[in-house]
Amino acid sequence: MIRVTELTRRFSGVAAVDSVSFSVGKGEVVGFLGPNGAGKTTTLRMLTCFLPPTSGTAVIAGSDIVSDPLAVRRNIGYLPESVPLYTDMRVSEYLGFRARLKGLSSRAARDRIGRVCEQCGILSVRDRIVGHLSKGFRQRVGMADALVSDPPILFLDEPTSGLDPNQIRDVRDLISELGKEKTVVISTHILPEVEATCRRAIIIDKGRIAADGSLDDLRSGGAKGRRLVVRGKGAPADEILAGLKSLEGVLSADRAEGGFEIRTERSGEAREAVFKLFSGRGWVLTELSGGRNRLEEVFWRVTGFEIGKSARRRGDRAAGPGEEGE
Amino acid sequence: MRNLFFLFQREFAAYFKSTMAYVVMFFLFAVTGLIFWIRISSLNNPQAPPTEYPMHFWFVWTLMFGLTFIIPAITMRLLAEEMKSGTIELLATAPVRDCEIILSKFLAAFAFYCVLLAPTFIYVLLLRENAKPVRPDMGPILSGYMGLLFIGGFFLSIGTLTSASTRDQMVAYISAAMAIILLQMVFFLRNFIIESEGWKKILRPFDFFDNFQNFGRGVIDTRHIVFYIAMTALLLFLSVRMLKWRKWRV
Repeated sequence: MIRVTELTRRFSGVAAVDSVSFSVGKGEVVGFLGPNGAGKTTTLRMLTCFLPPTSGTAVIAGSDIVSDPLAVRRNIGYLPESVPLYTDMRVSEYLGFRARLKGLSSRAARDRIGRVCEQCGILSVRDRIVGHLSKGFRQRVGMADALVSDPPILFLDEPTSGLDPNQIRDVRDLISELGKEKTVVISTHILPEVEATCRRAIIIDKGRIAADGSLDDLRSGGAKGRRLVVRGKGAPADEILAGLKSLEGVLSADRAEGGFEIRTERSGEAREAVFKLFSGRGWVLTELSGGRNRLEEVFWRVTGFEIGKSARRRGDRAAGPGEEGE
Repeated sequence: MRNLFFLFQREFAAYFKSTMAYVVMFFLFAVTGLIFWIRISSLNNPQAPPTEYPMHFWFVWTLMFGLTFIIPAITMRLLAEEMKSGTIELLATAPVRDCEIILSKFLAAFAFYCVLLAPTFIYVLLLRENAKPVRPDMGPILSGYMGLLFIGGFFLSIGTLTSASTRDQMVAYISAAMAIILLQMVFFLRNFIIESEGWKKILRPFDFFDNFQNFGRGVIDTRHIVFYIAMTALLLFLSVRMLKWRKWRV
């Protein structure tokens, strides 16, 4: 559905998006993740044919964004980040205008507007002036606009920003429902949003793709096996580490913060083995946990954010340089 | 063509939802009404010399005072507002061409300008009614209106370009008004300052007071019409380029 090849956009010599390539299949819901300023919005603007790329291209629903932007635009729905709307129009009037602009006949437009108003929960404000609506309703009007022509591909830029928790849940439910039949690309820096709605994430940092894969793959960090965190005492750390390494089914074992981190083929059997090891040698097992890497940690890792470093930096500012040192 | 119609419709309707439209209307009628009143007073003055073109004075002063300040007010929001609120992103990601966006906006502004001018025809009717038994010659009056439309269209395209160049409506207004005032200066340059005949000739097409002499006297010179249409088209083309160039700053 979407095939992006070496897409690059430079702004006065600086690459905001730097040879980005990925593809998204039909019916996939993909989270487009990255810190602020990573190039998410610029990428979406190129894919929606708002900005021409400096080099590279993308094929969306069979049409090229550079050579045939009008055909691309016919197949996409786009919710821009700031949800711009014509505030002087009534909701139904606005959606009518957008539907006609996107090529619907007046009859089809009427039907679709009724449908999307229902889907987005804005039936009650159909006749209100857009400028008088609350942020939550405006966001949903923007969503209805993106859906009005029933496009096969949706680009949603921060679809839940500024919404309250209930509205966020509504929007996520809607996205999950849409994902059953449409290809959806959601740009966001809110990680729980991706976990709630997407099966796959593309992480972009400083204009380049830092990671791309299913959420499960990303969580396991590309390393094989499942992760277990072990904490215990009763023997020198090296001895415990050696003991853990010798267990059957353990792929690797390393020291981690205050304990050990092991990767195993099957976490159930490994848990038992670890327990038996500790009890057999008379050590004390204080923690045996783990399972999955949180997406947040993956995000920090691939975008080059180091937890310890930033904490120290904050400490510097609070306590002054004299207090530093461990 | 279809898109052009929907875009035009929305743009034209938007005029009547803004307070600015009514302020502009009020201002235009106040100014043109005053000019008309001055005109009638002078026609009624027995010492005044007789005139062949009773409305010519009205046209020229309307051009000078009315349009200079009114046309930039009509065009200032066209694209500057879309850039500021970000709605340009919606417009330019719908299946429409940039030239359709610019052209529809220009046409909406032009249509609104026609709506503004239409009621001033009352002055003509008043003149006809009160000049009895003399009947003013309608030819020069109609061609005068034609001149207002062509020159107005040209000014509107200047305003479209300035509005496409900025996201600040005030900057769009002031730069369009300044450009129109500069064009008016050409008249003064040609008549009072420049002595070289060569320069006078080069600047002649831009001297719209001079061009208007013909329109106001019932002479429809195709050179002028072609000139104004060509200039309008050129400025609209530049607006399309400007829109493409400015998108990345939204």
